[in-house]
Amino acid sequence: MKRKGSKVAKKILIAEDSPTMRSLIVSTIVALGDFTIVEAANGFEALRILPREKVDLVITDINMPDINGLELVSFIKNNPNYRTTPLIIISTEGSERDREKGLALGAEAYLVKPFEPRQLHELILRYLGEAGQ
Amino acid sequence: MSDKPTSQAIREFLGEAEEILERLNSDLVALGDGLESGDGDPDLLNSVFRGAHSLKGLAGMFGFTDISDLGHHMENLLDSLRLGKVALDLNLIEVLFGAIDLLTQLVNGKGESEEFTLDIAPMLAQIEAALGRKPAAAVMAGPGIPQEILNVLTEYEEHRLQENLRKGRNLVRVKATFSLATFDQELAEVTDMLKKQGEVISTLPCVGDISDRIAFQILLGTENQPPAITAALGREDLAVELLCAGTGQAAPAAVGTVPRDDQAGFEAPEEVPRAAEELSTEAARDGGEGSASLRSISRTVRVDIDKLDQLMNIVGELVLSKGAIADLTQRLRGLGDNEVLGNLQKATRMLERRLDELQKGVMEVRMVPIAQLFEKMTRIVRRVAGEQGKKVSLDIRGADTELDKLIVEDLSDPLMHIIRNAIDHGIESPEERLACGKPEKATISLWASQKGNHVVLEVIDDGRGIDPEKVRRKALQKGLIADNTELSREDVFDLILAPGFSTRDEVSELSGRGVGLDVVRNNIAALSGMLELDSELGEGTRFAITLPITLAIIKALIVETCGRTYAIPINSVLETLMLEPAAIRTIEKREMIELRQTTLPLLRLDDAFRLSAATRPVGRFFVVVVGLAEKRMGIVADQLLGQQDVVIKSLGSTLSFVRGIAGAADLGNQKTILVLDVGGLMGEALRGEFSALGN
Repeated sequence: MKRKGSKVAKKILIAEDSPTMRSLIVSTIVALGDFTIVEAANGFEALRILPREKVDLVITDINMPDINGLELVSFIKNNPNYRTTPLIIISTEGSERDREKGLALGAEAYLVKPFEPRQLHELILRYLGEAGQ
Repeated sequence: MSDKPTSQAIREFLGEAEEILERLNSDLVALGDGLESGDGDPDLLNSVFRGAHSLKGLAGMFGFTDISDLGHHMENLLDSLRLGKVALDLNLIEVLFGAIDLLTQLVNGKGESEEFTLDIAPMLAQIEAALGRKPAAAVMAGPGIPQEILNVLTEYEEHRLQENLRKGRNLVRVKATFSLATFDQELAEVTDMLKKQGEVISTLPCVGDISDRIAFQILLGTENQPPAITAALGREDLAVELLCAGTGQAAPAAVGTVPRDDQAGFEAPEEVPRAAEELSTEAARDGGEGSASLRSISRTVRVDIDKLDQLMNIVGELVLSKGAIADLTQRLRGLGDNEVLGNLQKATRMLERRLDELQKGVMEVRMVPIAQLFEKMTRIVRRVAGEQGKKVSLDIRGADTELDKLIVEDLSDPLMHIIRNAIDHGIESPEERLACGKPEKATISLWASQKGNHVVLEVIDDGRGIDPEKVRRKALQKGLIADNTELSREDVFDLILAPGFSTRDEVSELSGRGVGLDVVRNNIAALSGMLELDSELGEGTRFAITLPITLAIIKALIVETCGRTYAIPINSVLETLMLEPAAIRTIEKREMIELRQTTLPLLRLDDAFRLSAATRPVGRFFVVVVGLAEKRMGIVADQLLGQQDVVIKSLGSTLSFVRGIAGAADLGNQKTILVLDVGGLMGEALRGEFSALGN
């Protein structure tokens, strides 16, 4: 699955407080191709990482203890530096309202837990295009 | 990568699931306690919801449908609870406890086999029934709140907002700007302070004016007015403004404006900073020394206890090698080259110090506060008391006392048994208690404290206590004592801890379970601990468990008697004496010595282990005075060979029947010696039971 060519790998930020969930997402992405992955264990870490790393895609959980995923979406989509960064929210069954709010705030797409690796693959390819192939 | 999670991933899942369940448990206990005192904490309820939610999501990813179904149902119920659609009561808490129990069994089962499952249908039905109890309350719209904040509120946060409005609280926005480097500590500090003023509903990050700063809008529901909050915060860099006044006052018209001083009751709002942006440059305060760092949460590492054991063993072996080097250095003395010897001694001492630090470090990693164990007990007390219709409150002290993780794990069953026993046998029914003039609600005290190298756990109830006459009758009936045996207080307590003794005629479903207190005593002895019992009829019963803080490496006194070498754990040695044979007196065939106006019983290891006494030397001898808890005894030795660190190795199951021996130890010179189980020896010796030893 290794990608040829000399282009710099695209960078994906994952904000998710559950370490197991995070490592599942990471392993799914790693299987997909050559990406740099930055992990945030909570919203605060994500806020800290954003200005430091040039992130190409953000994947965030909605339920996080410090600031919630919606707040993170609002922050990113209102900030001229990150406004165009595509954003995928991850929610659980039954939280349709939170999901709709996330999309209204500007998130590009959502995933509902439990999801298939294939669904995440498709979304990543959609927003990062060729880079992951 | 295959789509199927690896076993490593499953282990991670199990670890995290266990953690979540533990947290759920403690939160639920706190929630139940809060409910009893009439105050349901929304944060706790939300935390329980989040726990169930995470577990459901995780289990779903692994295809564990039973866990995720149950988690999903729990989550639904908790969601209705936190959104105020269903009222929380003690019955519901019990249902939730039941669900957590089932989840725990499922998670543990998956650890054994991924195919493991249980019937969750009855529990699902219980949850469904609970859900159907109360119709949802209507939700009203929130006035005066800026749309940008409303947009980011999750459904739960919206509900909290409504709750705060309903209670007539003010809605206040606090704006703050922090440096990107330190914002999490600073924000945590501010949030902690704000929580004292009311409820923090939402924290919205915003773009700061300069690229290395970040601004936050914190939405607070509070009974206080902005000036009072500003004063309480004591920080110049925070802007506090009223968004929506609680009690009939009109909210400011435009979003983001600062309240003017034409509002009654406000004083000098000009002192309130207008917006964070204006002040961001002043906010140069470095929050690096902030106390509550959120970062530490994600900085912990979960480690398999086996790995720690391995590490501990290596340290143990190193300690032995160090001993060998020190020994060689000693022997080199007087053999010549003084400069090399001096340097060698210096290096050895340095090695010793560093090794000591390493040993302490590894030891500390294994230490966990006993709080987790105590929380489990809280649950058991709640449930067992409920089942028996008894009213019991638990008084916990010393929950931060630390013990070796393995000891804590192995302590769970014995402690549970003692507590069940206390509720089952000790504590009277509320009616009986009232009739005796006692408060209706009984108290079980669960205390932990550190005494030197030992931790003492006490379980004290204020129940009916032990009736010596009943014990006597029972023992007679069971043939444990002869008809004319006189029983002292201690004898009575010993009988209760003896195999095959149970004071109730029918084996109780609860504390019975076919297991007597003798098993508890043996379990504790296996941890090199000691179980003591004390009781006053009508007043209550006290169990005390004395345990070493850690096992593995111990300092030991090496003694020689009848040509054999033994190690006595130093933490039970009080002193050593050198005596002439004439000092020994014999009372009722037992050897004693006089020590500072008290009589100290002596134990000869050759008697205890039935060794031939032919080599027993005459003349001066040594007595090692050992003590555990309140008991004292002297062990007779021919020689004291000195102090040493030893690594205790288990004797294995084939030799586990040998009483009085805690294990074997390697002295570092390929010599293996036996380590004495002082607690065990002392129990046997003080009861004069040596006939049973060594067979």
